[in-house]
Amino acid sequence: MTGQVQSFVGSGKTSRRVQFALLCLFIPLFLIPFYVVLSASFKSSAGADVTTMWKLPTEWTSSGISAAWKALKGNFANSLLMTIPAVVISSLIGSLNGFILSKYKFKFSNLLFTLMLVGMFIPYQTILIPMVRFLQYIHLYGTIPGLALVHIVYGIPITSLMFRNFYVSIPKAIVEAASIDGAGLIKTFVRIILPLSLPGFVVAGLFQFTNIWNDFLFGIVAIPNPTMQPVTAALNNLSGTQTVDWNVLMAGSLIAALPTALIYLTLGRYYIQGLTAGSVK
Amino acid sequence: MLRKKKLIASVAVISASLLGISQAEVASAAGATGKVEVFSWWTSGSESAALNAIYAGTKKANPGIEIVNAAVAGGAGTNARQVLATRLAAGDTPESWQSHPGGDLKGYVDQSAALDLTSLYKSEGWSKVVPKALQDSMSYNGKVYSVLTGIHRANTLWYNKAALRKAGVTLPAVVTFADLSAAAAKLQAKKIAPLCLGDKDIWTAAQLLEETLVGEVGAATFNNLVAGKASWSDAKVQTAISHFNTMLTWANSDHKALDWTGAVAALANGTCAFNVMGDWAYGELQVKQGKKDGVDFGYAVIGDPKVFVTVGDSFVIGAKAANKAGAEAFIKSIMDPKVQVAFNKLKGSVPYRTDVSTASLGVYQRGAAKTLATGTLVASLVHGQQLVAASVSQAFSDATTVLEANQDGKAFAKAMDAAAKA
Amino acid sequence: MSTKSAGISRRKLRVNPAAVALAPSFILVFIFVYVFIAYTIRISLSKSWMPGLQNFDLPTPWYGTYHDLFTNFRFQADLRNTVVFTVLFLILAVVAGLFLAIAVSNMAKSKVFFRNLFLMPYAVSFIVTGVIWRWIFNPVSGVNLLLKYSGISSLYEKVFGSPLKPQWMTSPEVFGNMNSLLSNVIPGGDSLQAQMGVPIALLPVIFAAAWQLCGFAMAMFLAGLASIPHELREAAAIDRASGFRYYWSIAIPSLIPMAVTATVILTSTSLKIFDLIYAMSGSGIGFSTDMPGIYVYESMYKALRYPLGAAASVVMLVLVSAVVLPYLVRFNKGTEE
Repeated sequence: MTGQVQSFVGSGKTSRRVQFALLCLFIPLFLIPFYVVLSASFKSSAGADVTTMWKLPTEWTSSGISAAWKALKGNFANSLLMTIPAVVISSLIGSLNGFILSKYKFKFSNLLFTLMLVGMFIPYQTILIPMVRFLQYIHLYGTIPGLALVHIVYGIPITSLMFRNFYVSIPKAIVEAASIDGAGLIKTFVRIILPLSLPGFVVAGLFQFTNIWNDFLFGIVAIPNPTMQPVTAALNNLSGTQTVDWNVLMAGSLIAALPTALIYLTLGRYYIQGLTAGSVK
Repeated sequence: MLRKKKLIASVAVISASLLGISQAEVASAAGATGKVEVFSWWTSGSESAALNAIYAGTKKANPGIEIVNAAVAGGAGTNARQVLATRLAAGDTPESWQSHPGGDLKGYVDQSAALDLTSLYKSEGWSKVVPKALQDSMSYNGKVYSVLTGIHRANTLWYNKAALRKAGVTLPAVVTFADLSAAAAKLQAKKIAPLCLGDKDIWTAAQLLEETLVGEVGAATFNNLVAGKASWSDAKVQTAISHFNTMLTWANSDHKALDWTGAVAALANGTCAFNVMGDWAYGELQVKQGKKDGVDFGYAVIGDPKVFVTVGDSFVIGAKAANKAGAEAFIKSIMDPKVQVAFNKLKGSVPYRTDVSTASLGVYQRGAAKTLATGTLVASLVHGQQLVAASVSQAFSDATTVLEANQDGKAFAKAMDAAAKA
Repeated sequence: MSTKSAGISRRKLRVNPAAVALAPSFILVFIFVYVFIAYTIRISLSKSWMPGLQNFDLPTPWYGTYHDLFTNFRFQADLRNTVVFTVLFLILAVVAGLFLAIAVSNMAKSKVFFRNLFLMPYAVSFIVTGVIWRWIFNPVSGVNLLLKYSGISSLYEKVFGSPLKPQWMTSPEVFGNMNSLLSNVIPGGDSLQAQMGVPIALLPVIFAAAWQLCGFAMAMFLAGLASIPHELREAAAIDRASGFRYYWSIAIPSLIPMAVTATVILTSTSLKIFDLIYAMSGSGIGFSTDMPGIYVYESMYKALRYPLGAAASVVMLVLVSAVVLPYLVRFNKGTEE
């Protein structure tokens, strides 16, 4: 499926060659920063510096990588425990909300939705204190479920927006046909809409996983115990107040980014084309 | 549980005093127990090694204690303060946390978050061995609220010997602006950037301005300026500002893209000649850059040699902490002379207790300790050490950012006058 | 909470299941957004609130903190920077994302490679990419070295006469000056101290942010392109429409909902941006790259001025809502059948 050229319009041989050439021009732009990170990761502590960024390591060493791994490995489990449930739940809730907001509109539903979207723009630094007090109130302060809850709630506006605009392209006829056949809201959602939502889940999953995995602020505030904090907190602590071992920090950043990169590689396979097309009967 | 322990301890004390054993010995024999959470921003390298030296001392004297090291790096302590603020608001207080004596500490005192340690200072006899100026820097309304770990000096200058040789320059042990000016001219003739500066984080430039200012107006006037008792539009202040503007023209061209370690690295490489930086640069030069004192680099004092611009770190006890006895044990071990030496050896700062021997420390630290004991101490405003609201320090940094762009000394004075008097 | 009358026309239900299903989300978001914002507003109107001493006394005048905020050079610069940053960043990221998506979707064997390559930057933490781009844009040891060694610098010098030595984010220049225009339009505009133009130092920062996030925009557009029914493409081919015509008249218009979504999401990212800037350029020379997020952070946790930081957050939220929400409302109405 992925090897198939999507269409034959705009994909004549010359047109594709031109596009390919242009894409190739972008390659160094994207690779150069990764080269800097990678080469710094294999340098010694004194060797990794802004002045030597372009040079390959004079002495290849894995000290940076092992130091980074040692510092980060304890927190990986925390990040996974927090991120995966949060991504799944916020995506599911977002898809349900998106479905309702696009197909089951009721009075004020758009207003409610717009009000909900304000949540996306809130600067997180200021709501830290009320957030912590609320988490305490519901006895989830300092726990991973509490942190996951925070991410779920702040992810709902975005996932709802994504799915709502995604479902706009699904014809209302499908939903109406289902309700004539006797299916209620939930049944229609589960039986008919969810299977069509794969590209939506791919994008929502991509965004949410990246955002939640890379979050630092909520991680250190909602969970004061360093052994239970996500991996971003440990990554941040690799840079001391006064001095930084760049090789360790760079290596650490690559290690911390691996799960996200893996998610991209896995989810990418689900960009199945023409899923909604052909479903209109 | 605690009451039972206290009862046993009281009985022990009474019987011990009957037997003539000192109270301190009995207390340390029993030792504090339980969980002690220490919150700091010392997360890696020499800082965390030094902190661990304190923990080792605490655990040795109190075998039953369990130390939880909660540390958050970033923003030179700002990230840690962010987390601490939410914890204080939630009532989840650590037993002890790191604070700069000065505006930062004042913030905690104003919120009644830090415990009054005056009685501890008295009972442990610390008042006699801590220099008065330092003790005052941690005191409000006659009550002292924290203990210092070590003191760094800010008004020091570091230079690359090879670069100076190349330009035919020698710098004296005490440098003035005139010395630097003459050196700069010769260095620029040899196409070497005279000043190493890494001010992506503005504090390095603000520090340069501050030390120039202190050197120009003297300790007393500087303190008055900060307290709003003197005007920043005064001629001497404006002179210092214009010196600063001139020094910026000597800086390496990528100074806005480097942090302070990048500037020290440039100094070590010889791409620039001298760097005004606190004495934490000493450790950076020696350990990270592998350079030798006296061979590759040298140092001097900027301004008045008797003036020691202090940058200290201190720890407080949380007023609402659960395990105050444990916190006290931690604080006591910070003040333990053996721990003081071990800590400062690793951290590169100077122990300040007058009864601690600096014989085992390096040559720079020994010299600095002497000045600390006998000289005039000035708290660094840039590092939030002055006994004023933290907003004054922030105003100084912000005004420096603007000054760097427009060289307008009068606008700087206006901003600082407003902030200091507020 | 399904009722026994599920399946019968909705009009007969007394409780709308849609509203019920939506309710939990709304309640949670209400708490986490509006209640928290109310708390923040309360702090912004206090004189000296601190976390350990929650004193809500009003200052005199009650709007004093907000007055301090708007007459502050730094905050004015922040507002200017966030507008410039958001606009230019959005244009760059969305246009690049669109182009990349179209080109990638037309590739056969290299599609997976390109898609993953362009998405990779998004996986790395902002803190670290900030450092990397700070290194790369270092005017002495960064990309300027590459320009020199590749001969581009000398070519530039031959053509334009002056040497090519871009200062990137160390540049203190601000391009353009709208102060006189704005002082006539905005009330109190004559107290503008910061120069209202485009800080040159922001350009590398915008570039770095776009580099990191255009992959996400590309991913959204790829999903959008995947949803275009096959029939439309076949019809265009049968009509012998050129590729350009197809994209211009059919594909891109159908991607507009996706573009709006991507814009809204990227806007929320750009308004809150902190780590990337903090690591890459700090506040910049003369606050040329300072952002409201950094200002709030330093006001609250360095200067210990909690009311000021809270006020800055409230102002940002109000400004953003005033700009974004009308568009969203109009867009929502437009997509109703």
